[in-house]
Amino acid sequence: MSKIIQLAVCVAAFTLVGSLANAQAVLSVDPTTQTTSTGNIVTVDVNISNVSDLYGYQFDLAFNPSVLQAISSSEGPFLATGGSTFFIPGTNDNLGGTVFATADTLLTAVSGVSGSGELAVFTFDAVGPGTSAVTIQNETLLDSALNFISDTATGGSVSVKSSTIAAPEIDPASATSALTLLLGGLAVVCGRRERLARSHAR
Amino acid sequence: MVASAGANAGIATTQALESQGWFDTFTITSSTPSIPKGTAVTLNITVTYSGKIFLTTSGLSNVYMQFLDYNSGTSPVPLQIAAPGISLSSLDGTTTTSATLQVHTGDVVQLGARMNTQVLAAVGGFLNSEASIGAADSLLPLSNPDFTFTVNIDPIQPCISYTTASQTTYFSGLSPLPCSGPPTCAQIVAKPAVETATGFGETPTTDIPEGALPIEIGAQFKPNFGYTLKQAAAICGFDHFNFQQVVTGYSGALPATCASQHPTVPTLDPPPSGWEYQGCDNSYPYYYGQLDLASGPIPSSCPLPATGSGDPSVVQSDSALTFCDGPVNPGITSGVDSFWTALVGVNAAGQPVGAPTPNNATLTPLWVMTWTDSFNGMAAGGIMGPFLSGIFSAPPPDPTTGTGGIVILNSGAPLVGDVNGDGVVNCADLAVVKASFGKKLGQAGFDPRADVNFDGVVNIIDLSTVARALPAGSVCD
Repeated sequence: MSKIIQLAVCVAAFTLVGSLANAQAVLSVDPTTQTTSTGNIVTVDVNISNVSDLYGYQFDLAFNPSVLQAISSSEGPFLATGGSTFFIPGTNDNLGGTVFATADTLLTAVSGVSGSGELAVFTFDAVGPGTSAVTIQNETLLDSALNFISDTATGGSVSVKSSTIAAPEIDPASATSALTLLLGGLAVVCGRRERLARSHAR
Repeated sequence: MVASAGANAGIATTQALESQGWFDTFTITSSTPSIPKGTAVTLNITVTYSGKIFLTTSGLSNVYMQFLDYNSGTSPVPLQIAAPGISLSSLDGTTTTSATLQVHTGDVVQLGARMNTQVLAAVGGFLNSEASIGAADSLLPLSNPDFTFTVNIDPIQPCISYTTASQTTYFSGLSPLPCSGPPTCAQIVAKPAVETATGFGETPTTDIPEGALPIEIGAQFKPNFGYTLKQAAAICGFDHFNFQQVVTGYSGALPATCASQHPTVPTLDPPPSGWEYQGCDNSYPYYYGQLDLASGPIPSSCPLPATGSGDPSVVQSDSALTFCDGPVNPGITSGVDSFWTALVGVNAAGQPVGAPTPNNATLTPLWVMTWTDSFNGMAAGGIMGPFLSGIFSAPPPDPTTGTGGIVILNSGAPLVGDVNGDGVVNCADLAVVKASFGKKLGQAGFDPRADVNFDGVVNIIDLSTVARALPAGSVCD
C-alpha cells in the first residue's frame, strides 16, 4: 500500500470516527454548577452543541422545588438564527419541580440550524438552602424533515446557602487592620489598668 | 347555423343569432392511449349574450338560454348538464353564464343552444314557447335586431380535446391543456372543486344541526377521469381503496365488550385487519352502518345512492366507493366525539397504507372528512344489542331520543397543518396546538385536533408539523 493510500485510509478512518463521535447533539445546563443565597434570583441556560439541522425541540427541566422555584423561561437566540420561531415557555410545576414542555420550533419550510448555542433561559428563585440538581428530561429534537435527532443530555446543579445566618465578609486586608486595632485597643486598656494600679499603690 | 368564428388558429369561438340558435356535434378525444375510452371528461361551457331585449309582459315571465339538444350519442351513460340556462328578465349589453357537462372520451354528443321564453299569458297560464328555435324572437319584438350569443367549450383535463362536425373549435382562447402524460394518482383521487351529492365527497355537504334528519353521514369516492376503482388503485400502487375512520376523540368510556379491540383512542375503526369487527363493530357505539353490500342493501335512510353492485366491503360499484355511518353514542353527556373519515389506499395485505397499528394511527389519507358528533341519542328501536345480528338490520339514529348533531369540520384533500379545519394553515392552527401543548389523551385540555399524528399526545411533533406547513413569511406570536 502506497503512502498516499495509507494516508487516504487514515483520513477516511478519522473522518468516520469523527462523524460517529459527532452524531449526537448534546444538551447541557449552563453553568454546570453555581452557588447563590436564598432570596436571590438565579438563571440557568439550556444549551445545545453539535447539532445539525435543528428545526424544533421540546424538553422538561426538573429541579428541587424546596431549593428552587421556577419563575419564568424565555427563548434563547440559537434557533432564531434560522428564521422566525414559535416558543412555548412551558408550564411551571413548583410542587413537583418541573418546568414542563418547554418547546420551540422554526416556522415555515426552512432548513434547521446547525452548530451550538443557547436554546432557552430559565429563571428561578432560590427559596431554600441546599443543592438542587437541574436536569433536562424528555427531550425531543427534530430536524427540518421532522425526523428525530439523537442526543445526550447533561444536567447541572444550583447550591443555595441560607442568607439569614450569613457570616460577615472579611477580606485579608480588613482583617489585618481590625486585628491591629483590636490589639492596639487591648494595649491601651492594659496600659491604663497598669497606670491606675500604680497610682492606687501610691 | 350562423357561426361567425373561424378556426384558422385552432382557437375560435362561434357566434349565433338568437333567432336561429346553434348546435354542433362533438367527438370527445384523447391525445394519449393511456386515457382509456370511456374516461369521464368535464366540459366547461360558457355562453355570453350580447344585445338588448326587454320583456313586455308582466308577472312570471323570463327569457332564458337553453342548451338545446344534448344527447347521449355513443355515450354509455346519459349526459347530465349542470345549470342548464340562465334566466333573463332583461338584457342590455352582455352577460355570461356557464355550466358543466359530463361526457366521456369516445362520446359523440350533440350540443346546442337557443333562446327560449316562458311567458305568463293573460289568462293566467303558462305559454311555453320551447317548441321552435326563434320563438323567442317572435315573442320579443323589442329584441330586434337579433342579439347574439357566443359559446365556448373547454375540456378541463389535460390530454382531452374534441373535434366538431362543423370543424369549428370553441375554445375560449386557451389551448387544450397540454398532455404531459397519463393522470397521476393525485389527479385521479383529487376531489373536484365542485362537489355533488352523488359524486366525490361527503353527504350531507353541510352540518347536521340538532333535530335535523337524517343523523347519518356518508362519503363517496369516484376516481376522476372515469377510471374504475381497480384502474385507479393500480395507478396509485394500491391493491384497492377503502374508507377508514379514526376516532380522534371520545367523550366516554369505551364499552367493555370492545375494550380489548378498541383499547384507546385515537384508534382506527374499522381496524386494518378487516372491515368487520367480528360483530363487535355493532356494539361499538358508532359504527353499525358501514356499507357492506356483501351483507345486504344500503339502508334506505342512508342518503347515498343505492345503485350498482360490486366487490364486498364498501365497494358500491366498479367506479364508486361509498361509506355511510349513523353515529350513535348515548353516553355523550358533554363535549363531542370527533372523527376522521379518510379515503385510504390499501395494500395487498389488506393494510391501509400508512397505518401500521390500530392505535398508532398514522394514516396517509388521500381524502379526509373531519367531523364531530354530539348526538347523544340511540338508534331507533332500542339499544345497540339487537343490532349485532346484522349491520343492515340496524335502524338509523332516532333524533327523538337525544340531542346534538354533526359538525363537518373539513372535507377535502388533507391539508397538513390545518388543524382547525378552516381550509388554510395559519397562526390560528399553531394556537390550537399551543393551547393543548403537552396534554395527553384523557387529560383536561387535550384537543384531538392538535394531535396531528394521532399518537395521543400533543407535542413538538405536532407543533413543528403545523409550523412547517405555514406559508413562507409567516410570523406567529
